[in-house]
Amino acid sequence: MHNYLFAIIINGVILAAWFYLLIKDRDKGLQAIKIGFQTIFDMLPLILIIIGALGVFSSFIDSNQISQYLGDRSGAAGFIFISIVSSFMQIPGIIAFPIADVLRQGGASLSTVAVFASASTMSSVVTLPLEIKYLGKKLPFIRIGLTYIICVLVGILTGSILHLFT
Amino acid sequence: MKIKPWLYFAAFVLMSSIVFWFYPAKLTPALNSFSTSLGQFAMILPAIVLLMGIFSVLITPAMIEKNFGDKSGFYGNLKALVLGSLMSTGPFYLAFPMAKRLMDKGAKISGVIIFISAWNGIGIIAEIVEFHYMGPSFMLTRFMLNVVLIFLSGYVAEYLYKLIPEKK
Repeated sequence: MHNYLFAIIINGVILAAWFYLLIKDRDKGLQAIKIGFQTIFDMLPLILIIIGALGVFSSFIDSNQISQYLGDRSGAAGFIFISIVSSFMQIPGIIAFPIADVLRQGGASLSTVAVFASASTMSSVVTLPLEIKYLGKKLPFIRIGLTYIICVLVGILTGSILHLFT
Repeated sequence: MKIKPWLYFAAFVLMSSIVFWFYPAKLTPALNSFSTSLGQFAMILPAIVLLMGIFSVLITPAMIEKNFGDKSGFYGNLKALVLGSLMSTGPFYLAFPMAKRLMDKGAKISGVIIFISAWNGIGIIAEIVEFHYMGPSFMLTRFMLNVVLIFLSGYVAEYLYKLIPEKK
């Protein structure tokens, strides 16, 4: 169930903002669209892989299996599993949500979907070595630890709050 | 043009082809789902492309460093939160060298932590995608919880940072 009104509005608003920038500063406006296309083009293979993999995945897995393991009645195990696995991954936000949407449509609980969205984007154990290289050992470990706690809390609370109002 | 990601994509296409060679019946549903979700992604794509460009042009590292300030109290941290969320969804690992430069220039731990977390937790571009895919109630709930918890985590991080002795 999707409402495309938002997409139309946001495209319009941002197009207007870009025109404004173009009129105010022609060079910056042109540079912006160039960088924008370059960035999305660099991300395109990853985007296509993720969306393609979701297609393959959903043709093999039926939603019963998702809701069985990650649904509301599957207990905390699925939630904890997803929270840990997605803490290790670093997925750009714009790609994390198509995945989250597939999980939700497959019947995963909202808490699990929220913890996936938060942990896959915010907490990244894979980039920890790089982080340590720049910031020393202490701060990255504090950050990763706190981020994991945030993600779990956001997951649990998002699920609870949404259940409260629906 | 970076060639390596496209090689991964080619490998993915090859692997999928092998899978569907053995399960030809699954091909149609997979392609249907692929085209539907690609279409859904394409709907929001103009906004993403333009906004990534606009943010990269306007929110430069120099601008961040100039605005960050070293005596970050409550408002300094609020500024770190907003600046982080305005970072374009560039590669996230760029956050670390920038965080180091900010710390070298005397920025507080709380501000730096809030900035990094806001960059990948409440980035405006990602939130637009979240709204598009997940709808307003999910996006707004998660967004508000994230804002509050990221903000608090900055203070906790700074407290812990001072509490724990540096190990060599």
